[in-house]
This record gives sequence, C-alpha cells and structure tokens, in this order.
Amino acid sequence: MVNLVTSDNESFTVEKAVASRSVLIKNMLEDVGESDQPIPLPNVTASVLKKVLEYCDHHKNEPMPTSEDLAAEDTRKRTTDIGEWDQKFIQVDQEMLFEIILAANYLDIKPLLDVGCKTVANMIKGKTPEEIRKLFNIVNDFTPEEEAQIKKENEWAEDR
Amino acid sequence: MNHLPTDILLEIFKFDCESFLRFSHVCCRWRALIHRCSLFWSRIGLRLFNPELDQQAAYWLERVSSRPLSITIQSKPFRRCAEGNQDDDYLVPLAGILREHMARCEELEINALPEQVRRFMEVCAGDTPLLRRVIIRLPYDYHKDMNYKCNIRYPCDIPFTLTTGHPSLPRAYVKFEGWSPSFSSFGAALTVLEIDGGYTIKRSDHLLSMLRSCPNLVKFYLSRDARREIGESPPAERVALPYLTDLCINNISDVDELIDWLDVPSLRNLTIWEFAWRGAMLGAFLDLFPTCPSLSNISLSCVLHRLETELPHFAGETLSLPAVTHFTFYGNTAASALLSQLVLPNVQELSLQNVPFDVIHQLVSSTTQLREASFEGSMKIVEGLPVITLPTLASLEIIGAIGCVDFLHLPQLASLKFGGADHSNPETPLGAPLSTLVERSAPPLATLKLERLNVPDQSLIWCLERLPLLEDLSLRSCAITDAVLHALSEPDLAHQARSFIVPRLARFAFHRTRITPAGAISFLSSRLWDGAAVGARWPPLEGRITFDNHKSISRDDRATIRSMGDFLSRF
Repeated sequence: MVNLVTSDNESFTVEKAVASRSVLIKNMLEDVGESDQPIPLPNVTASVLKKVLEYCDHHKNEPMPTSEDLAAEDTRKRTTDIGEWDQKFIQVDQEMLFEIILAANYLDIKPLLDVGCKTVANMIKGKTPEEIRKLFNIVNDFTPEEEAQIKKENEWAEDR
Repeated sequence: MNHLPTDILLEIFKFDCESFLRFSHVCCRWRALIHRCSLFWSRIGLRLFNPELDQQAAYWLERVSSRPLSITIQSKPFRRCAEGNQDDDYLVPLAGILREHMARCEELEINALPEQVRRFMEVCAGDTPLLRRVIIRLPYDYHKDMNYKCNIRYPCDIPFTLTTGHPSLPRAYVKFEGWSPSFSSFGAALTVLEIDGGYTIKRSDHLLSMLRSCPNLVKFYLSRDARREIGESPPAERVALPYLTDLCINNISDVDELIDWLDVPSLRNLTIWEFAWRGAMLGAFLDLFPTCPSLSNISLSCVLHRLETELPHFAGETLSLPAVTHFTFYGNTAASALLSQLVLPNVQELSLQNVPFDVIHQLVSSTTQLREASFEGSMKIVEGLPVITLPTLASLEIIGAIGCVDFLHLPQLASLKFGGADHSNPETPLGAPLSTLVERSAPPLATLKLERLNVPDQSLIWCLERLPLLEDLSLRSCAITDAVLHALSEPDLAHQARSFIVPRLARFAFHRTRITPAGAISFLSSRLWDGAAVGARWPPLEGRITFDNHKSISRDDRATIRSMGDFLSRF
C-alpha cells in the first residue's frame, strides 16, 4: 500500500497499482524503494485527489501508454471521443474539471489529462468566440487594431 | 480556464485543429499562443474568390515557420465563376507567393477551372521534394461550360520536378477528377495514381505515355464517365511497371489496347469492369496472366450482349493460375472462352455470371480449396456431366439455373441461397434440386435462403426435417403456405424430448409468401414458448414477416403479432 498526503494534509492509503497510474508517483516509488514514508502531493487537494484516485482505481488493470503511443499522437488525427465510464466520471463542475486537469498534469496521468482536455475541447466545439468567453468568463482584451485584423480574418473565411 | 498552463491549453486546441482561427479570436492570450504554434498554420485553406488572397497566404506563411505545408485552393462552382467574377485576378499573385514555398509543400489540393489550374501550375513549377499528395478536381458542374470539352482536351501537365541528386523514396498519391494528368519527372515519385478522367481519357498512346512516366506505380485506378474506346496504339516499347500490384480499369471498351502493352510482373489485384468482349481480349488476358505469378485476385466484368454466341471451340493447352484465390467473372457466352482455358487449383472464392454450366463444371472440378461460390444468370445446363465433390465449399449462391446443383456433392455446405432468375415470374419451380442436394450431401446447413421459387410445401418440410443445424431461414417470394409454418411449430415426434424440427432456428424472414396472419401467430407463439420448464432450450428468435396482401391483416392480428415482438415488417 502507498500513503499519499494532500496539500490540505489529508492522508490517502491506496494500492500500489492504483497510485502507480501516476508516472510521478510510480517514479518516486521506484527511486525510494519499499518505504512506509508518506508521499507528499503539495499541488493536489483532498477533494481532487479523491476524484483522481477514483479514476486510477477504475483503470488500474489497463496497460500504461507507451512512449510509442505518446510519440504517435502528434501524427495521427486526434478524436474527442470519450469512453462511457470516463464521460460519467468527468461530469463535474467547471472548477473541479480544471482542478482534475491540473492534477493529472502534475501527477503525470496522461489518459486522465486527455479525458479532461477532450471534455473542454467538446465544450468549446462549434461555439463562437463570444460564446466561449461567456462560458469561461474570459475578458475580450483585444486592441482596436487586433479587432480589425480579426475582422479581416473572418472575411477571408467568408463565402463571397 | 485561463488558469490552465499554456501547454495544456495547446493540447485542448489540438483536439480541434480546424477551429484554431476561431479560438484565436477569443482573447489575447489564446491568440498569442496560437500564433506562436506553427502546427495550426501548416494547413492553408485558400478560396480563390477572396480579393485579399495574397495577403492571407502571406499571413499564414509568416506563422508556419519551416513546417511542411498542406495547401488547399478552392474555386467557386462553375455556375458562379461564369457570372463574371474575377477569380483569375487573385490567382496569379497567390501563385507567386506560394511558388517560393512549394519545396516544402507536402499536400496540394486544387478545386478549380482548368485554366486556373494550368496557370497555377505554370507559376509554381519547380522542385517539390516533399510533395506526397496531389488532388486536382474540376468544379462539379464544369460540364455545363460550352467550351468544356475544348478546355480539357489536353491533359493537365504536372510540372513539379524531383530534386536532382537527392532522390527521395517514391511515395506520392495523385488523384484527378474530371480530367487527366501528364507528368514530367514528378511521375517517378508516384506510387498511387487515381484518375476519374471523365471525358478526357481518349487515346491509348496518351495513357501509355503517361504510365511510362510513372515507373514506380504500385496502384493504378482508371475510370471514365461512360464506356468508350481508346483506339489502337501505334507500335512502341512495352510499359514496364515492375512494382504495380493493383490495376483497376473501368469503362474502357477496348481495354486490350492498354493491357497488351503493360509489363506488370508484381500484379496481385486485377479489376477490369465494363469492357466489351472481342476476339483480341482472349489473347490479351492469356498473354498477361502467365507474366503475373503473384496475381491472386481477378475481377472481370464485360458488357452483356443480348446476342447469343456459341462458345468458340478451343483445342489449345489450358493455363493454370495457382496463385489466384479470388476470381470474379461477369461475362457472356463468348467471353467464357477465357474461362474454358483456365485452371484455378487454389481459388477460394468464385463468382461467375452468365457462364455456361459445362465451363463452370470444368473450372470447379479442378479446384481443391473452394470455400465460397456464386453462380448467376444464364448457364445453359448440359446433361450427362458427372457429379463433382467439392469438399471445402461452405457457401453457395445460385441465381437462375438452380438445376446445376444436381451435379454437385457438397458435404460441408453451411450456407445456401437459391434464387429464381425471372423477376417477372416470381415462382420458378424449384422441383427436386434442393431435396436431391439434401439427400445426397446431408450438408450441415446453417443458412438457407430461397427467393422467387415455387417450393412445394411437402418438399421443403422434408428438407427442413433433415437440416437440424439450420439457424437462419429466409423465404422470399416463394409459394409456401401455412403448412411449412405448422411443421416448424410442431414438436418433432421422432425425438423423446420436446423439440422442434430445425431446433436451432434463430433468424427467419418470410416475405411475399402465401402464409396467413393466423399461421404466423401460431408459429410465433409456438417458437417463442419458454421450454425451460420442461428442460427444452432453444435460441431467442428474431425475424420479419410481410404478407402477400398487407391489407388482409386485421388490426387484432397485427396487435397480436406486435405483442410477441418486433416481427412485422414496416413496409
């Protein structure tokens, strides 16, 4: 078993197979060897780690992505399809979604990071810039010159 | 969202690369991020009707860094070009800008008028060492141009060249729609050439000259809009295509004028459709086949002439093609002269149409691996032929002369389809052939499909009683009545445990037969009865029923059948 301690000082004891879905933790365990010492995770809160561990537990028996898989990603067309269980898992509020993405990035759990990124990609798919701004509370901070260039770019794409 | 680090934001954008421009219009941070990432700018989509086309191209190229390029140029439909728009005014400045970058162009797709394509090619001619995909399309409505035939009379010259002294591996794919190409040194880069040449493929010497310029082709597909001749080619050296594995030609009547001149020793797949059979064709194929030792898949379809022609007498040696595993031949009596000379010892799938049965008989008698066979059309059965055993045949489809099954012993047949040939007379008598087959071969049939046949009820029931492995039964436009359904509903008294004849029946289709709603209800309620309580087990049942006269089903019968499951066809 592995003991993980979150930024808000909560302790989680989990199977090694579950914790090792995180490449960060897996490498730590390999470096440190067998030890009872807790592993601190200063960038992850308890509520987020709980969700992340739920994901890791569900996928603990799946093969880890290989370096070849990761290298092939750049060349093949990416799809935003998400598995059924993952879709339900990631149905969380926006704040938690972004926290999960950040945690997956920090803990180096590529498949979870992909689920999070695909979810956001699906949220912005087909939306206008204004709709995207509204969805994520993003301020339109373009200068008038930039606005003029954007107008031009839109005209280039128009069917005239 | 904007608390996410830049690398994660980029990952999100990469899931929808095509929308990158829209994302760059959201805020300064997203815009700066996207403008710094050359990946998004490597695909340039340009519309010829944009007056700022050259500015747009320059803007893209500024951001693409040194990445390979994918360029798509799109014109308007011909109808709108003809309305006096000045597309051409934008094209030359654009070509001038792109010309400097063609050396790193990987993909080029142009959908434009012939003159626009020609002008672009003239300006952009030069070295294209990375180019691996070229698609040229004429606007879909271009044939409406009064000068259409005149403007595409000559092929489109592809003036790209390969860097001298730096030969790259041939790997380019070129596709032409509505027009045909000619190549300079770029032809040597091609491995796949696909030409849907419409009107423009007219002369065999042009085609041979084009093929001569593409010595590394692996796959060549050629098609035209309607069947026409390409004419005799003046004597010349044969065209060597040593790597060609796939050759597919459609709609060239005198295709022998082309294949006579090809040297294709690596050919594996040959498909020639819609050609007209003539005497020279026999020699062309018999000359070609022995030079292609790897040829495993042959598919030939010649035009069916109504004229009945006697099979020419043949007294020469037969030609064995041991590598052929798949053979399709849709021919006519005259064309069957080719088949009468072939031996296909290892063919696994055989599909023949309008081939006399004595030729089929001769062909299948020399096979040892045949798994699937399909015979269709006029077959002219000759009496007195010996019965052949086909020990590996698992699937047989005969449409038309079903009597030919009388000459076959098929001990491993798992799937059988019989169809009457005459659509206007939907009840060709099936007579004894099915019973003879069942009695002689006792085949382990799992699938039986009968169409447009007059099968006497008792004869069919007799057969069904001897097909205990049958899972799929389809009867369409057959003159069966409720008696067959009744037999399928009753327990088989020959067995001690309660069981049906055809106990494994899992799928059925009864369409346009003489069965009645009452017969169907009785059949369904019997076969859907849960036998578990008495130790009987049979598979779940699915299927469709339509009745001869749909209006004859009462509302109550319809409701009763629907209450048993989704068995009533919606049509």
